[in-house]
Amino acid sequence: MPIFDQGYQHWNGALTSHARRWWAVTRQGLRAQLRNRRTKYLVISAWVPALLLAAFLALWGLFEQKSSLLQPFFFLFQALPDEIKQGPKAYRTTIWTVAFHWFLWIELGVSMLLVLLVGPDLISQDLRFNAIPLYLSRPMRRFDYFLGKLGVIATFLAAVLIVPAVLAYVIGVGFSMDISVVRDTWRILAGSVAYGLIVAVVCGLVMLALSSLSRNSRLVAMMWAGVWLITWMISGAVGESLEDSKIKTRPWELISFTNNLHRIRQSLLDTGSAARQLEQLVVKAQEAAKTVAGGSLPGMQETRRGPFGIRLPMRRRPNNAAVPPPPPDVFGNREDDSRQIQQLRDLFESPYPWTWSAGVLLGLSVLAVGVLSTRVRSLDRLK
Amino acid sequence: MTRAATPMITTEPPTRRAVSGGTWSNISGILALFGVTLRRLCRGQRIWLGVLTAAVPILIVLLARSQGELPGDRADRTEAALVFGLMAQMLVPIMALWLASGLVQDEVEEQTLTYLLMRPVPRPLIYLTKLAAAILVSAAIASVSSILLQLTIHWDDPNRLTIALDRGGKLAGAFSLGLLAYNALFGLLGLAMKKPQGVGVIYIVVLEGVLANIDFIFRRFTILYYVRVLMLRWLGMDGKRFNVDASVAPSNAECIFTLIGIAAVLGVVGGIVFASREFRVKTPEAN
Amino acid sequence: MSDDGAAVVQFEGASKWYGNVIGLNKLDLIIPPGITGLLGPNGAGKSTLLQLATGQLRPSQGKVSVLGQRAWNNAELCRRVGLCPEQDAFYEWMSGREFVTFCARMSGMGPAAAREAAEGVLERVGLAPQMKRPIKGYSKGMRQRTKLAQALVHDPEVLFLDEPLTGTDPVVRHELIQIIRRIAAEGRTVVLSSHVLYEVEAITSNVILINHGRLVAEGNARQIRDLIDTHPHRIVIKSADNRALASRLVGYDDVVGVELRRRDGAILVETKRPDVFYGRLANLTVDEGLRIDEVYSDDDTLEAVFKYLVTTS
Repeated sequence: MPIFDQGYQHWNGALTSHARRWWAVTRQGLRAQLRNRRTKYLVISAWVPALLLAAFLALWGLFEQKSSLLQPFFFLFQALPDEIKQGPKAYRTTIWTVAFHWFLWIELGVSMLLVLLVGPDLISQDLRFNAIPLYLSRPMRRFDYFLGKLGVIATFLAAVLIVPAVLAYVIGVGFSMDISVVRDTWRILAGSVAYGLIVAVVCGLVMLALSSLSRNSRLVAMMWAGVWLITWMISGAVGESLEDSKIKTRPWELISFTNNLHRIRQSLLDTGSAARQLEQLVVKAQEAAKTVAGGSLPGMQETRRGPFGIRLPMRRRPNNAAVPPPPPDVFGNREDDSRQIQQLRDLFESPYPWTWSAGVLLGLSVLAVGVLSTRVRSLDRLK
Repeated sequence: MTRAATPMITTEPPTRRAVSGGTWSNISGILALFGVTLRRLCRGQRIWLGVLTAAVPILIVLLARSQGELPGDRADRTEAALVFGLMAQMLVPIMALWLASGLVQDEVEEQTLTYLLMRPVPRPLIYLTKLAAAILVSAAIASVSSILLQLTIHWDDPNRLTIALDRGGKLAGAFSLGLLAYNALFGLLGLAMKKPQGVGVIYIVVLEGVLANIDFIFRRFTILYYVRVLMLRWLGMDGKRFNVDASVAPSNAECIFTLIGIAAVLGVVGGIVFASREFRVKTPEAN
Repeated sequence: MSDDGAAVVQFEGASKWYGNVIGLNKLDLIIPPGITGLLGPNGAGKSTLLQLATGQLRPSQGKVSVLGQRAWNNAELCRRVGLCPEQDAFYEWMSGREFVTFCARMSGMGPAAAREAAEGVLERVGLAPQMKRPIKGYSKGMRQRTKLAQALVHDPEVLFLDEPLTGTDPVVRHELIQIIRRIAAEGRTVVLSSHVLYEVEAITSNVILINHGRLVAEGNARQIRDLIDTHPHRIVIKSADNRALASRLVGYDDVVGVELRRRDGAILVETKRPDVFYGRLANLTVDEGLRIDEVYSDDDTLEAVFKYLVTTS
């Protein structure tokens, strides 16, 4: 029986291994997405916080060395507590942790927006234009296809989470002129990279699953907005409603997709340790303020704000300086003091274990993989 | 060779139908378009997303109730968090973004817009009719959600039905006015750009979400602020949590006029844009 | 019909750009009453031309008018014009009757009149038995009929049909051709586009050829044929001694090209003087004993005309 030419052009050259075939899909996806000006601008603007982080780490490095180069920026460090000023190296890990924490917090918001821009079309358009057979009729497995699409999201997220974090870290180490920085802060780098990978994989899988649920990419974008923003608002609303309930672990925070990612970040960066060191500083500052309020140190009856909004005692004034009357509720208010400490804890710690969030994210990822394998069928099962 | 399924084709010549012109002949077309747009919006994924969105606040109240009774202060706090926060700040604008931004885009993507543009209905009227349908659907969803929410919150009260209709009705009124403006805004956004979701979400989160919460002049440029002021007065709620002081806020009439005014201006602009824009249903879409 | 019998559709220096891509290039064209076939390969500018004529696109330059009125964004003109678009798109959840009734109502008819008109036109296009079924279950032929019905439901004077026969099987195609002929016979002006020549030939001999957004030729097939007399005539010769024959043919002054066709081994000759060439061919067989099995002109169909015009334009 003769075999007729059906237009298939046989390729006689060598084929790449399966391990690299996903890259063809990723490369094409990246090219397509980078044609969108808004995506390009967002990626570029996502680097602004990274520049600020790098600048901050560089200044901190110089501050540790008491470098004369720091003279023009000295005012920035005036507000720091004396403990930090006298022994900055003891606070190195804490300061770096806090800096990376805020950087990654901002970048997570940018990442969510980036996924909203680049993700919805990835599979929904292939479904809409019936393009999946074009992929699967090549020597390509469904896994390669998924990996290729995941690669598009992962590349963009790596570009705003991992790459800038690593570069900022390198700059920070470079300016510190001290190899012990690596010993003190390696965990922050490893944590940041791991966090970036987790965000890329989880967000990528969830977005791909959503994208495979509809041929309408606008609907996919709305579903992503729901996963990102509405779950966050729901978590807040449930929290308000159950604030005075017996539940102290605040499990409703698990409803929020981004809260779960924040919780993982806290664990990876060990922000709890940083919070405890900062807490000690706050407690010392509060005690010192109470002592001053007792009359032993005239001229220290005002407050000033340290980093992260922590209330600190004022520096000494000359005895003959005019002293304004203290605000009535500044000192000796235990409720106020404990609220400050609680706020600090809320910023860097959560009352529930990180494994709960990891479980939620893992469950979402498994669900996403299930949805993907059901919605994107193999060639022999396509209609 | 003949086919069993070959249809019969009549050879009778048609009788010429005189299709009258003028404004009044458009009314039939507008009503038909309104009906078809309503049916489109109430089909499949579109409506399910709306229903799911509307059900969220009610589910939260049910969750709170599962933790014990809902005493007065807790009920107030829950209501404030849901009504002022979740619904006004997120669910209502997101629903408008979803429904309004796709009014024309979906027709372009599905290549059905040609059938509308090839009819003697003036283009601005086509757009405004579709916008009106989106407003009606979103307002209906928000209203049902508001009444059911009030019923769930005040379930323990013997007069729960009266309270639900009274407070839910007022809430539905405030949301409907907000939806009027939001739909007009996001409808215009859907005409102006190919992928309005990103910009729409940034608008909802940053401009509406942040500016409306700060007690400064800029909050007067947000739709959310006027909706909240109306809710505050009509429901007698405490606006401290969102920095809204009813005594210095714009009057109710001012709020209503502003929301309707925003909707009218943006609707007219949308109509003009729709009339003057080319929609390349088949030929290449402009960059 | 048109007040001005000579020009139902008129393009005056009309151009249309899509960014850097040109869709239509300074087109001057008058389409008279009757059936006109618009021919051109894919991407020639046929759809752009039809969309400009139906007022969906605004000309970047020049003027486009239909029945003496500006075409762009002219709602009133839509009462007199119907379009059967190429895209296979509908409100899939509607039945054929609902869809055509909706289009009739959008055209200004009341509910009862619209329903009556829809049923009438669906019967005319042969879709009456299936009109209550949802469109999503329709075959390609039914979908084409539905599109035709919506274009006809308001009884337009001018009908634009964009690739109306695409994707249909021979039986459905034959039926649609009959319907289109009948529509034209009712006194309407019909402009239909296609890239398949025999489809157009089956409906009309009045054709317009466009390529790369430019008008290549217009008139009936015979007129176009006359236009290409200046072009080399293509003759196919099949011979057992094709190489020897080809080497002899190359030596004649009027022969401008000789090609050995790969697919059937025939010789394709291009000559400027076919009459002289045919006379000489007979002598070759008699005098030099070269065996010729088959001779025919490659220019007998409109397709050949079209090929000439398009490849040299």
